[in-house]
Amino acid sequence: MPPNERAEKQAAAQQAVDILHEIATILNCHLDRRTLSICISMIENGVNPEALANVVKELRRHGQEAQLETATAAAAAAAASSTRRR
Amino acid sequence: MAYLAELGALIDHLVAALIDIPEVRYAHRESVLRRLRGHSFTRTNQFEVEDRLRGLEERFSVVGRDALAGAFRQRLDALEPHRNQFSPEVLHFILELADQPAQNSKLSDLDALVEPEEDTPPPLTWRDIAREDGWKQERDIWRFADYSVGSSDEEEVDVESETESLTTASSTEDQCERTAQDLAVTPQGNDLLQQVENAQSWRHDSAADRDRRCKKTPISTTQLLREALFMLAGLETTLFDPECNPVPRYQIRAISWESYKALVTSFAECGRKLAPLRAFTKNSAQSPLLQVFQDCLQKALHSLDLELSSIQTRLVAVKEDVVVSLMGALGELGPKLAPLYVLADIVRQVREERNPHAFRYLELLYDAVGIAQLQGDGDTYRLLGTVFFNCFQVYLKPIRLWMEEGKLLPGDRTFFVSESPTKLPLSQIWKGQFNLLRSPEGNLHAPRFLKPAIHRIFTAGKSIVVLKHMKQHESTKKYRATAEPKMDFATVCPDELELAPFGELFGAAFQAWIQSKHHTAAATLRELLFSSYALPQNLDELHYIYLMSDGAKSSSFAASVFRHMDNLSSSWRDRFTLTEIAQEAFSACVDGYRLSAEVESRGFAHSAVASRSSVRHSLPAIRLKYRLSWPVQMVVPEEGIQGYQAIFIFQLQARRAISVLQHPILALQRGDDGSGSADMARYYLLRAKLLWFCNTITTYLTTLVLAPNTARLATDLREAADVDDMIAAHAACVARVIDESCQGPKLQPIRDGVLDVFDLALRLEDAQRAETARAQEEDMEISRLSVMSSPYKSSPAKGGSKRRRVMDDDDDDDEDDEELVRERMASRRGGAVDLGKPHALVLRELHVDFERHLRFVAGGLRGVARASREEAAAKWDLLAQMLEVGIKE
Repeated sequence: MPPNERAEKQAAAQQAVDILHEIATILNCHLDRRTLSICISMIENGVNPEALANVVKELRRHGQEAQLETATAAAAAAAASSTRRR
Repeated sequence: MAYLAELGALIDHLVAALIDIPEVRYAHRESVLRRLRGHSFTRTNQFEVEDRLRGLEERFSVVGRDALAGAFRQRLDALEPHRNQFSPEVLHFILELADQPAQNSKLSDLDALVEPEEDTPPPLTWRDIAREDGWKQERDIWRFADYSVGSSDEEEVDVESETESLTTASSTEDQCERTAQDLAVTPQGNDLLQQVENAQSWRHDSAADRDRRCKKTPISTTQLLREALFMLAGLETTLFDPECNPVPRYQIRAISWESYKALVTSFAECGRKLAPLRAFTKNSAQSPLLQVFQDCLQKALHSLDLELSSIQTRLVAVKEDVVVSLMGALGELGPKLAPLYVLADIVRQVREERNPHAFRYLELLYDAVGIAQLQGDGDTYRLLGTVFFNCFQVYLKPIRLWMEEGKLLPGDRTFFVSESPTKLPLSQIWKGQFNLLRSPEGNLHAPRFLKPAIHRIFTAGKSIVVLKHMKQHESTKKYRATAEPKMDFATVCPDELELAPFGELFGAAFQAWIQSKHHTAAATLRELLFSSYALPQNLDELHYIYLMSDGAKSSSFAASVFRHMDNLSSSWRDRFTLTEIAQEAFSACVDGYRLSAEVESRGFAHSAVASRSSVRHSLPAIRLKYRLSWPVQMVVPEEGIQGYQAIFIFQLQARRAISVLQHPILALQRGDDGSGSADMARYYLLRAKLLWFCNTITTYLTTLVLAPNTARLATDLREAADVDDMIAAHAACVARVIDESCQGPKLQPIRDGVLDVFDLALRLEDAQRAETARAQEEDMEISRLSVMSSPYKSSPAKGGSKRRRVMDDDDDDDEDDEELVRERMASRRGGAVDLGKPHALVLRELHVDFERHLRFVAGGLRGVARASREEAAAKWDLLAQMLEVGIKE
């Protein structure tokens, strides 16, 4: 297709993703634009949306746990080094 | 596979986006993949999704968040024109992830999404301009100008009128006040004009004088120099005519005619040499190659013009003392003109040739650069080299496109690859879709200096095309990490390498350029052929089927077919039965569903009895077909399969002979007849010899022909650099195998001899069977006659059953089944050839024939091996040696 048609289609797709991002914000999904566009690509590739939603929730949970672990580990390390210094 | 790859990439991005810590990410990737593929959720119900959306909106209004509801409705409406088949699923996904929106959403988040608009600068207005320029302050510009004649400040009037035109108000009123008289301008500088005319009068002097001899108009050196410079700049002059010949009417004062003529002729020479160059640059060329050449020529001429004008500047705007010297001018211009002469020569040569290619001038330039370098002419070398590389850049464009994308520019006649207009099936793309263009004389349609590299360019482009068909093109783009080396004069011929021949430098640079593009495509294609398309495995399977690498499976196939043939049923000729037999036999080592078999029409020509009696009649009509994927078909074309087929038939024929000879021996029980034992002895001898012969042939085939060649094929394929090499290696292997197994056209008589020996084996068995059947019939007659004469009924049964042991066990009752038995014996007699001859004679004939054939085959092989110089001759010699063991002198 000629480049301007392609650009038009790209612009239309961008607009659609923008509107979906706004809807997701209204519904308080905690999705940023990049994640949303990745998920849209996956759904268009045939992934089941419910399964994907579960996966996202699972990954968020794991991410938070991992962050908590590293935070506590860092705090413990800081406490240990400060006691050592003393 | 592409779907999984894409999905994997997307999962990576998703995990990276959601989990910050890199170490944890990989562990989750696999679980994510598993969970996405093995889920038990049903399809999205879009009506349910719409219901939920509507319900949510109502809920917002109910809890009092009307603004939120309004925003929600607005966004849903805005989504309407962008709906596609996946919108319900995306909305379902979003709904699943919604986290108590009625309580927790904030409209301010929405506003945060919208990026602040850039402040457009305030538009410019006339007021601003007026304010900036200070029109109010400057009173003068608002004054009305006086255009009457005799107004003293003419200059100021001009300036005022200029500034007044900026304003929109006053100019129209002024124009009404001007009259025609005001517009009349008195010409000034009449004296100057007169001076100029006088100075140029020498051009127009009529030269005729009273006695009608042309009088020479005297001119000065300066005038001649000026005219010469103008002529060299390509302008019309009076002293030189349009062909740059000096007009003889003029002569410099105080110089003799000869010296004047010599001087002016030398200038004229320069001009004449440059004339084709100027004329060429004036044409408009169509093809980009010629256009870039014209551009370079124009640049060169432009620099010459600059040189000329610098000389003129020195003479016109005299800053310091300058001597007007024609010889000096010639000397100055000499070095500048020398390279231009070479270019003009090239242009002339191109013009003179009939139907030159567009890149002919590239070849001439290349030669000229080499010559200039050899002559040590530095300036010419550099100029020509720069021109050459500029033009070559344009020539490289279609090559680059072809090697990177596999595409050809439509209508481009300078590139040497052409595409055939018909769309060929995928397996023939490599061979047939693209061709190298050749001129009618057979030369390649490419500059001479590119000839060594053309093959690699061609294969690189074809590899890209095949990779595109395999949908693997993107991966090669990723691997092309190195940028292509620059091909311009400064890079290729740097000053340090001045003494290196231009041809070498160019060749090396171009090879490097090609290497940066060619390597990955060809290597990727080769890898793919080996890994995803399993070329070695496919070849192994072909060898299992056609070359009978696995004897057990081939024997089971052969045995079933021979059983059908021996039972004189024609069901083996049926395509489906044969396919079933083949699939059953080979299913353990190949993919059965790809294998099919059929019988050619000439297999139906012979009757069942005739086909059983000779290996030549029906066996050659059996055809096996194995479906290959199209990339493998590129390497193993139809001709290769034909070769394999020939070997297969030959081996099948050998097996037929062996299987016939290995039938259980029907011992003739009659020991009373002396001739009977002599016959048996001869029969055993013949059988042993025939078995030995067939086994020798099979051993030769398997150990000396097939095994080494298939091993060599495997190594050759592994070492092959690109697809062309692979095709060549395979074709060479098949040709070698056919030659060494005596299937080639040269060894046709030898092959016929071997087949004759196989037929002898069949005949022997037939004769033996006939003899046994006849003996049994005789015995039965005797027993029947003795039964009729003797009262005991038991003994004939016993006697008969002993002899009938070799017949079917079903006949217990010899009276009733005698008809059946006689039929069966008649059918077992077979061999119409030997019917009616006494057994001993037959055996003797067969023995003599065998000896004769053996001698012929061995002797023929020896002779051919000695006479020819092919590789296969050594193998033939070996076979002859193996066979000569059996010849008794």
